[in-house]
Amino acid sequence: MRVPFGWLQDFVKLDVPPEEVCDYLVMLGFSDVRVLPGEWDCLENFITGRVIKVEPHPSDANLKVVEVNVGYASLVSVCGAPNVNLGEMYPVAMPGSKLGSGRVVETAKIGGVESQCILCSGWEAWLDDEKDELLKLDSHIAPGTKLIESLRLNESIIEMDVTPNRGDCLGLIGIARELAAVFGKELIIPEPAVNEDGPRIGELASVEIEDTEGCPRYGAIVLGDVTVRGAPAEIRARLRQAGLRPINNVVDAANIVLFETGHPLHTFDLDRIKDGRIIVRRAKKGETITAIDDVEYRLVPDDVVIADPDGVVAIAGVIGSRNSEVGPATRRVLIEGAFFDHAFIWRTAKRLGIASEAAYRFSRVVDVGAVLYVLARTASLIQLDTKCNVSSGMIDVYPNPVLPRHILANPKRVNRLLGTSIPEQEILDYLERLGFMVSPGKDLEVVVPTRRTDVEGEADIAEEVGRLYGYDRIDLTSNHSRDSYGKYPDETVISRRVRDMLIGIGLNEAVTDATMGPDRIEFFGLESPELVEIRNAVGVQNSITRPSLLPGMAEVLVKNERLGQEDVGFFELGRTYSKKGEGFEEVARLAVGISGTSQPRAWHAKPRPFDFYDLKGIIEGVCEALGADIVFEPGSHEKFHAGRQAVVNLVKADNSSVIGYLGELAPDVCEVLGSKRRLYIAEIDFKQVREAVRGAGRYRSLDRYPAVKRDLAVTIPKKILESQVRSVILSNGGSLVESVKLFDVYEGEQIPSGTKSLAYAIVFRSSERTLTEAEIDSLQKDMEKALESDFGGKLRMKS
Amino acid sequence: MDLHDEAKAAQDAARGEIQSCSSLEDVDAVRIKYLGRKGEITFLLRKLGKVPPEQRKEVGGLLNEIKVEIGSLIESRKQDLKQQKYASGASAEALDVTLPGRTFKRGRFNPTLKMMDDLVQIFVGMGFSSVEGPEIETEYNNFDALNFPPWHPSRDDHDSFYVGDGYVLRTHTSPAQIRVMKSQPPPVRVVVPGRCHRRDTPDASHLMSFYQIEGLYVDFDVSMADLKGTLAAIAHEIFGEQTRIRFRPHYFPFTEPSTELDISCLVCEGKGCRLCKHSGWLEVLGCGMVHPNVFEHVGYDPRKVTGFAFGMGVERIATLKLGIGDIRLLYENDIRLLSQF
Ligand SMILES: [Zn+2]
Repeated sequence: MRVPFGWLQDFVKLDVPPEEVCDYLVMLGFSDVRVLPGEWDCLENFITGRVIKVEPHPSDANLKVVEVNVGYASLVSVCGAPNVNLGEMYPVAMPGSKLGSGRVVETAKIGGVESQCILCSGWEAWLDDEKDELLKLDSHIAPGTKLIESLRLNESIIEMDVTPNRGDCLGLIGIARELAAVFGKELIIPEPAVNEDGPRIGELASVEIEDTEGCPRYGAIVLGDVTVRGAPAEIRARLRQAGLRPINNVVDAANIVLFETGHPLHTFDLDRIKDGRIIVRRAKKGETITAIDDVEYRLVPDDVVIADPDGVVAIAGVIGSRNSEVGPATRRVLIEGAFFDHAFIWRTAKRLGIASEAAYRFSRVVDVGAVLYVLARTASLIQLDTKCNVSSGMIDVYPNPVLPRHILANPKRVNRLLGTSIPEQEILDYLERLGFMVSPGKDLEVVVPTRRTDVEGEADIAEEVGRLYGYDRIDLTSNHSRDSYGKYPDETVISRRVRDMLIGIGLNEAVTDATMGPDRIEFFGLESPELVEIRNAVGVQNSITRPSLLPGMAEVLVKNERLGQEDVGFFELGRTYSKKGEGFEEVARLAVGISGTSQPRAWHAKPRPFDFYDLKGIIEGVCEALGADIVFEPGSHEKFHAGRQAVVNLVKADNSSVIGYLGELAPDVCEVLGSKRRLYIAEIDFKQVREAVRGAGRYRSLDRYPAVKRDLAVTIPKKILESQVRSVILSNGGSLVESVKLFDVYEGEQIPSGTKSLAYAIVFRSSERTLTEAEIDSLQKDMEKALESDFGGKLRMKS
Repeated sequence: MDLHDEAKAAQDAARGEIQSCSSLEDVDAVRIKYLGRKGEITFLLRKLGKVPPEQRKEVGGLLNEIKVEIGSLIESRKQDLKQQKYASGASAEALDVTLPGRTFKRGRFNPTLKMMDDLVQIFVGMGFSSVEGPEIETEYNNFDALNFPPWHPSRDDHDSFYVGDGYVLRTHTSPAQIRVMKSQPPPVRVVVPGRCHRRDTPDASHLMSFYQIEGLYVDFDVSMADLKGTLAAIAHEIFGEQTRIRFRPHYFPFTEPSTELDISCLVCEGKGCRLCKHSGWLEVLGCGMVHPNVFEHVGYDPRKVTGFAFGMGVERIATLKLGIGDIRLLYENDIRLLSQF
């Protein structure tokens, strides 16, 4: 909202500068309030000039030679405008200035006569689209005055945002009311002075409201003998200060009132309304209208329209039609002052993509009580300008008048809510300054003006009181008396522990998109009936909420590889989304991705590429630290390297379940992603891991019977998995095996091809007695026998 | 030579030999030669029995003196040699202590999530409990129960993502207010950190996904002064004690009165610059007293309880604190950027 500071002073006389007024506006609840920088540098070399002599041009009958008094001198201008009149004042563009037409003014000989300056039309003076006539200025101004001064274009403009609940402040009077209240000043509302010298309104026009839901009130007034022309220069300048484009004196008057009151009006050429009959109704399916922007709009039955017996003449509260608009030929004008339901207007304007001043204001609720005032005010402005006649009486169809809301507000409760102790009289005073009517009592009875639809209850009254009292005057206290301490949910505590741990081993935290496109889904093989699709996605690449962190992680690895990072390690702990039954499920998942060099070049170590076991170690480490038991088995994910991937199983007391996978992405996948490296990615269901977390165990005595340590090495066919060997060792060792540690894996010349050798350090211990060598020998024999029979294992050495 | 002279001779010889020892092994050999079981002094001591009784005491005394002297000479020679050996070894083993140490790797948190952790920690310290809620929310919790009128623009298809009948990707973490209040009687004091989604076109200050922390405090006597006190404390904790703050009226559907908290600009300290659009102030969060209609939706009696709620954009605070001009940088997942924090 632009607030021209001089215009604002028509409604409240302020004795502080605009910059200071801004601070008050901020503390009243307006945001982004600022004084705009000057916008009229283009008029720097334009001044006012009075015509003191007009002579025909010696060689061109279409031109005149005009002498202009510009204060300090008389200048000659060769001029072709039809309305150059002796004694009148016009804008004068001096050499060097650029006209609105784009032309640069220079001294030039025109048909033998030297033209020293240019008399300007509204178009040339950058004001509007009027090209044919010179812009007539107020002749009382001294010649030689700067044009921006004479048109008050040099006055400050405050720009600010009005919150959507304050439709009443989308007009200058509303803002003036707020400032008057805060400064304790008088609010000046212009009294319309209409001379109702025309025929009775009933003889000229009629209004029927068929849709009282969409249009609770419709008023009209009719003007006769209207001369439609350009509005006076001051009016045009004002509209420009307001950010509006001058059109003609009738439309401009309506816009002036719109800007003063925030209440949009519409003007019709009454002679183009069939039988003078206005019908407010819903649009019929398929009905169309060609609006004043020359676009044909197709309407639906949710749209409220203004029609005559022949068809639609305007989309109510949004835009008028070409075939009923006021133009130069118009003689009789019907002014519409109405109240349309904001939800209808908002929906229609949104659907049709029309952002008109009217739709903007109707969408935010205007004052249903202001209809007759705005009609009279508009009529009076036009009558003042064109000496037209005004109908006697106005039409006002208002079947269910809105009664002002009554609210009971208890001063104690108001103070309790604000944390203040404002005396009752002061509360009452604040409310009255804002135009509320208040009756004192145990509870104040507050009558809310119809323009303040946002004030619905005591809390709203408290806000009004607080705003005028000043939010900055409310104390800073903290009532933390009751429940005494804050907690984190277990999930957050565990997540935080894991994140700390992963940061500690050198991984970075990634946050990737929560959505992806069908191409990613397909590429990573994530198709599923449980995918959650966004109905109104912005683009197809963001149309599905992520079912997996894998695509995002792959992208992060490749991106950092491209950026030249040697050591790339990331994790992401984030949600994935899926359908579940009638509703949805969100699961926290942990993804880990590594690529490049684990140990970067350093003086003390050789670089080593990341490998599968780095990744596996991370997942094992996280689960081990949380106390979740997991086991791995070879996997068969299509997007992973066929020989380098595993499925992660979570082992619980009574069962085990797959919670994720890890491995090296398949070479063709890496190629498509644009990576030249091996990419290792793991993804596990972190929710299940979290749920499996055990607390710390109980203390085990350190005073124990001595351990017996044995090394065991076995050569087995390559295809046998280490986990199989381990489980044979464990099942034969029984409860006496305390730990089994693989310390060497060998493949090579020392053993037959197609085999590998695994070497274990096994620790035996009993919690009840000292073990004998013989006992252990026999256990070890059993293990060896089993290994031999199960896998054809050969013992390589033992000690 | 009598025993006395033999002893003196051995004493002289031993002194010389000890002095010329150049290694611990030499010293040990000398010790065995003189003091060992078959050593010379030991041998002489055995002969003491054959010395006439009147001389025995004197010679015995001498022998013992010599034995003690040799023992101590050996010991001190040993120490000298050890000292020499250590001194020469230390210089041979000397390191360049200015070589860099073996570093261990350290990753970095995402700056937004780190900021969110820090913020939540402050609130927990003030007695707020942290809770979470779903991102796929019912329209009822996200809008209706929070007093958004049916025609409110943020319900529009252009502003919010819909995923099914009656479900929306939550546009703020505020619906968790509703869940919490429906699940327990007052008093309530919670913060809700989490990811939210809006149908914004990404630019320097907008993202389709972002993080927010919602806070709610409901009790039987909570006032706007409490809101100011609590949030002023938070703002000072985050931005420093020297930061000036102001509360100015604003509008939110789910609070009444509503206010926004501004801090003095971190760049220009209030003088006006590009960051603060020359106002000297930066908006950091929205807050207000819980709207009575919200209480009615969750079954609290608005005549009995009052409360305040607030919501802050974590990215906004992170970018302000870290001096990042473009919010999108927070989610670049670029190690070069992450390493800065
Ligand atoms: Zn600044």
